Amino acid sequence: MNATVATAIFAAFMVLTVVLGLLAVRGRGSGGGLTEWSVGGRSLGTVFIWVLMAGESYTSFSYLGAAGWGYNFGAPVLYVLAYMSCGYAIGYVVGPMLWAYARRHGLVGITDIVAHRYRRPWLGAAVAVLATVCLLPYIQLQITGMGVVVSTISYGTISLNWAYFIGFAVTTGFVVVSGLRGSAWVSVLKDVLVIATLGFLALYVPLHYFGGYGPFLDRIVAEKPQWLTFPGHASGGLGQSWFLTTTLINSLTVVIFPTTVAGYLGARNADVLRRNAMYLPFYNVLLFVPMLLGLAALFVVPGLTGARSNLALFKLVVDSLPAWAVGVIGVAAALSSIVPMAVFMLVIGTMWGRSVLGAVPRLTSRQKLWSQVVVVVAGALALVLTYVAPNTLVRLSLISYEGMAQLVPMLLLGLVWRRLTMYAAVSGLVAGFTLVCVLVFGGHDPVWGVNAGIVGLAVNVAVALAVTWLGPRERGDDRPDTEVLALEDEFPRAGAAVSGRD
Amino acid sequence: MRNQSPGGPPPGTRKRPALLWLLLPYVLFLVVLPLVNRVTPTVLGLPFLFFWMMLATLLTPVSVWLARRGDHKRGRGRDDGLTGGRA
Repeated sequence: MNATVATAIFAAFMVLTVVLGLLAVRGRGSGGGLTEWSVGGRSLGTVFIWVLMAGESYTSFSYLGAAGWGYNFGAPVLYVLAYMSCGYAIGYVVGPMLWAYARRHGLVGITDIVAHRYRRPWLGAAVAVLATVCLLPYIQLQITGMGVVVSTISYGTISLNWAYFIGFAVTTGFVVVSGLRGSAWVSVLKDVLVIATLGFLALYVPLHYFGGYGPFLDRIVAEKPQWLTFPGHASGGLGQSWFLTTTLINSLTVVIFPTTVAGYLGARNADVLRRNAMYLPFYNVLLFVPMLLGLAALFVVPGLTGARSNLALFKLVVDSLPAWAVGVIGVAAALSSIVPMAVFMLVIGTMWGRSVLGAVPRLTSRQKLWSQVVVVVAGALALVLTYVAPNTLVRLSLISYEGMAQLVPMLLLGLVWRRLTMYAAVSGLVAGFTLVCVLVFGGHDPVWGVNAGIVGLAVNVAVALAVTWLGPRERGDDRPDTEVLALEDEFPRAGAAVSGRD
Repeated sequence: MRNQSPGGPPPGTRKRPALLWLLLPYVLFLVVLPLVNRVTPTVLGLPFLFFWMMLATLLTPVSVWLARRGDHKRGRGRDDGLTGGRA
């Protein structure tokens, strides 16, 4: 009975998700090309951008990992909050800068920006491959996250393997057709459900299990003080210096993360992004909920270990709520996998359609079609790997963020500093990325209590500067600075004139 | 040394001291961490570190607002209502 109710609610919402995603592009025909599909024709306003960017950053990790970290370690989980907040703040500068640059030159993503900046299409293709390696694990994380949520909230009716497939099918079902705009529409549903359900849980769980916030917090403070300061409980070196360096590097990375940039480029004008830099941090308050519920679970369902601790929050939900409520909360969590997954797949598709396949002369006229094909291929690849070799992508995911961070100098420094040569940017990237791989796969992250990615980034920048000053000069690029660099971000005379259609 | 770009310093930083407000979250979350990494005193029942992180989260939008206000004062960052929406 319980299972039927919860599963029915889940199924209904999954259908609604696909329908909503497809409705987003109703009446727009199949025209519009890659810009329409990849970045919503650069036409989204403040509300849609808020919903989309909040939607893509609040992933299944927020429900599972954040609660699990809270349960296992305590305080170290606060890094998520810290880097997202700091990242939103500097997005005030970076967002409009990337937006204006991309719009001026008709670009649709970071690979495109790199190819334009250094005037080397192959470099765009290389960055696309590298970024794909970093992004694929995230798709799998969403697929597996969705899997455990769905099988838990359906009381086991839907098996893990089916739940994985449903996640892939629903996401592909709308994103292939409706692109970024469809993702934004689905995000509306997602954000409404996430805000409502987490708001409810924040009030309900302490009341239900502890008789209110006062007793709940008193009990944590009295019995689990180890969880409440750095380095947390048995966290294996996640102390203050780790928190500091991780927040620092992640806040720089999140602003150039390809999915964030897709959100930036979808904006109607630069001011939409400035306003969102102000409004988006409010969404982070919601992150406290899974963190606190993870701590609450310490008392209610003690003894969860390993991957099962990720279910800390859902154990409470299933234990304390009727089936229909479990279903709705499960839908909110499932959509927190689906929306980010949609944008990850969209971004991979765009990078390949534009910068890899699109760079091949014979294929260049069908960039949107190729992008859509790659979306399906990338999603299917992640799904198949989830079934047959789940550990491959899990291992890769260890370097995802810290590897992506190594693109920061090439991209951001490159856009403000003309002297940075292609040779320098590439040398720095290779040095930084290699070092991160060596450290992480060698089991040295954190290294000396410091995030391994920031060590890589320091070497990356040092090498880039050295090669710029000592290495070969850039020859033959006689474009003016205004063509190559980001300008002091200008205001659009009229947001109407969307250039750069392809 | 070759000349720097005629555009001068990096975009967005020239004469925009208000942008320094954007560093405030880094101060709140990171610089003062050794001082706030403690359980007591509890504030509204919250352990101090968690209270502080909540405060920092809520002050982040304020810091962006202060940066934006600086831009407004310079006659930039005007409401896009003036420049028209999309077609």
